[in-house]
Amino acid sequence: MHLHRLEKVWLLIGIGTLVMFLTIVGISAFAQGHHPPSDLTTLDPQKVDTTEPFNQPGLKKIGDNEYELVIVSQAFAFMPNDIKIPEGAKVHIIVTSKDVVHGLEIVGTNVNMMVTPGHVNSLTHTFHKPGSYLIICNEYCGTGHQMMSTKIEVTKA
Amino acid sequence: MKNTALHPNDGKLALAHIAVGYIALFLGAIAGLLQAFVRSGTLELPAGIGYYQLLTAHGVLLALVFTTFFIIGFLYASMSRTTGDLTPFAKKSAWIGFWLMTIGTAITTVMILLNKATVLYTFYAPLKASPWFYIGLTLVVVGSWVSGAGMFSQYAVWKKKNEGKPSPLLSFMAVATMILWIIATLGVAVTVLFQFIPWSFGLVDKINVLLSRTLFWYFGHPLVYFWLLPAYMCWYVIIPKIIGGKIFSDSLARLAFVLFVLFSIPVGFHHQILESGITPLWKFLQIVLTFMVIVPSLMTAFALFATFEISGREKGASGLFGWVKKLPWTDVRFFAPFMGMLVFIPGGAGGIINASNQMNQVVHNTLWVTGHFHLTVATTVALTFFGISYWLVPHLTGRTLTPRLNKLGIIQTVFWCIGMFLMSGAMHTVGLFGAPRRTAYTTYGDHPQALEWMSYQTIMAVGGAILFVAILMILYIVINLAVAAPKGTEEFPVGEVHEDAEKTPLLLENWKIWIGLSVVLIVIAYTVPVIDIIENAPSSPGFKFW
Amino acid sequence: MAKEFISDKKEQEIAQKKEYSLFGTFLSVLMLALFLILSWFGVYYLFIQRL
Repeated sequence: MHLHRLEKVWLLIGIGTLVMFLTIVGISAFAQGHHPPSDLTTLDPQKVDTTEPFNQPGLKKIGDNEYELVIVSQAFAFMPNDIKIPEGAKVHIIVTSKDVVHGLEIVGTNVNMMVTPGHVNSLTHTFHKPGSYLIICNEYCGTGHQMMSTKIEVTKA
Repeated sequence: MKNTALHPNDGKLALAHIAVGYIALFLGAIAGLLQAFVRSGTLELPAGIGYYQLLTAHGVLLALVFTTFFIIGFLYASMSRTTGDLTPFAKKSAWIGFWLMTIGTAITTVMILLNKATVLYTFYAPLKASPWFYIGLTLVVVGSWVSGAGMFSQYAVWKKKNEGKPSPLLSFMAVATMILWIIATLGVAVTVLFQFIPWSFGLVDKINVLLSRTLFWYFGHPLVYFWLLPAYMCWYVIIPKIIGGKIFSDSLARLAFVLFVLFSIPVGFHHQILESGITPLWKFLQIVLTFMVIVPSLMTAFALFATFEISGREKGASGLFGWVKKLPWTDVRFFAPFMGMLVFIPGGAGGIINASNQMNQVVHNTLWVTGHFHLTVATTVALTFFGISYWLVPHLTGRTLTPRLNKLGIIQTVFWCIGMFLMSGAMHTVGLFGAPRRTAYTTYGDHPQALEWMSYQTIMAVGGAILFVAILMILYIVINLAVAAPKGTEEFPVGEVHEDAEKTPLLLENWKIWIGLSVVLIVIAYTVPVIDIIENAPSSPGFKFW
Repeated sequence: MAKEFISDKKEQEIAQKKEYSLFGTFLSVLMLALFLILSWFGVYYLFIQRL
């Protein structure tokens, strides 16, 4: 098929740009470990309360300023409620749902993941700056969806 | 090619579709206006009506009903215009399709109004609506298939009569659009028929949530191309005629449509980037395929600018950008779709960002996404459909677009762009700050992060109010063109190919190859992850939280 | 001879038409690409900042 010379150049530039975007996110994901949350763990969504670690939602210290934060989401709340961690803490967030699909977003961070019943999702985030971080459900889950939130207080070290 | 009005029966058929489309637009817009005010905290809904109920109505009526009806009406009009009067079979299919879709829409709308289906238009399991909501949606989809069959037969009859000739470009594009639609809707049909309906009737207790979401998004992304391709038909074929130019390249236009059929389907995972149960590798593979579907849009951008530049130069324009001045800026049939094209630039840029793997974490389920599709479908596609209506409606009713209505249309377009600039601009910005989409008014206990969002939500309401005024204007114009404008003949503009353009290779018309390749790509992108989901993803009972 | 001449002329005409400058088009799509790149890196920067 005949292409105008400038259209060929344009398609090279355009496709080149797309390849550049893919390369940047590809390297960041596959070489530096910044994969989007894609946990493959599953559980019985009706037995969340008796399944480890969700039988004990909360913050657990697992290393030097390193924590595991287990969250259970259900309409229309997150468990545990108010969470306090020191500045610079590395937090492994593990979450599941007891009922419908929820979303877990920590405002102003890259923590953003779907919480599907029967599945566990997880992300690791380091809280560099102190302050109050809002955790919200960002997937419609029912009439009380806009009330579903909690906070993380990151205290000065 | 004749340019008299379509056969009255064909015209009636197209008009019926367009009429239902505009009724849906009106109802959906009312819901939209109320939502914008609720979200800004300026309005509390009177007893009984829920924010999420309105949101469900807004999504279903605008994203599914307005688009599908308008598109099928426009495609049938295009078939009749370019391949001759519809055959009895095509006509019959179209009417059966129309009534199935209309009955389905009515059932679904009633269920939403009765508050039995406040599950939003994506109806994510395990939120469980009344089975009649899903049955209504099924009728809409099945109706569209019957309509599609009518178009395919019309096309086949033309091909048989004109062996060895490439089909008229508009009919080729209409067929490509319906092929895309049918392959895509198979996914949603499977999940609704085999998962949602038995489950909502209580025949089975549980539903595989991840499977239903995956099948939904197998459909959900090509759905947006089903909206976009008819707009591209207008840009590629109709706009050149309106500006007094020629189609830049018939073959490249067909190639773009073929690429959309190939690459717009095996890409649904880019709506599920942040989801458990799908490995990062399979997500990334579909993201690469997603980026492939950007290529035909890059081709389209070049072809459109080239159409404008060549026609401007043929009219004596000089300099690098002299051709811009030769465009018919005061002709709303050009101006409205042109603004749609322009808005597709930020719309497309946002889309690339959304699909960029882990970058999705910045924007997923925030108002950014809402802002994004209010540029793409609610501006690019909507303004182009309005642009089509300005000549198609009077063409079908034997009336004319008067200078006064033309001027009103220009003002309508300007209002739309200003309203959308405010609303979508505020949505994009506040989305980057983390404000969630699909959420009623809340300050999250006056949390400082949420309080920062409030002024943006007020701007959204201002933009929404301007958009509603623009909706009233377009309805006034369309009703006028349908029943009150002076009698006369309004042209159905169909562009001709530039005499220097090369002959169209018939390979592009070999649907067996393209459908085959499309299936191969789908099989590659989906087989392994779907088997994995069927084997491993747990099922869940249903919930009704509204 | 005469016939050949005419078709030659016609071809020349076509060739001339094909020479229409599309540099305006080219610059327009380049600006489009620039917009895509700037907005993409804007959000990518935000992602990196929030790591």
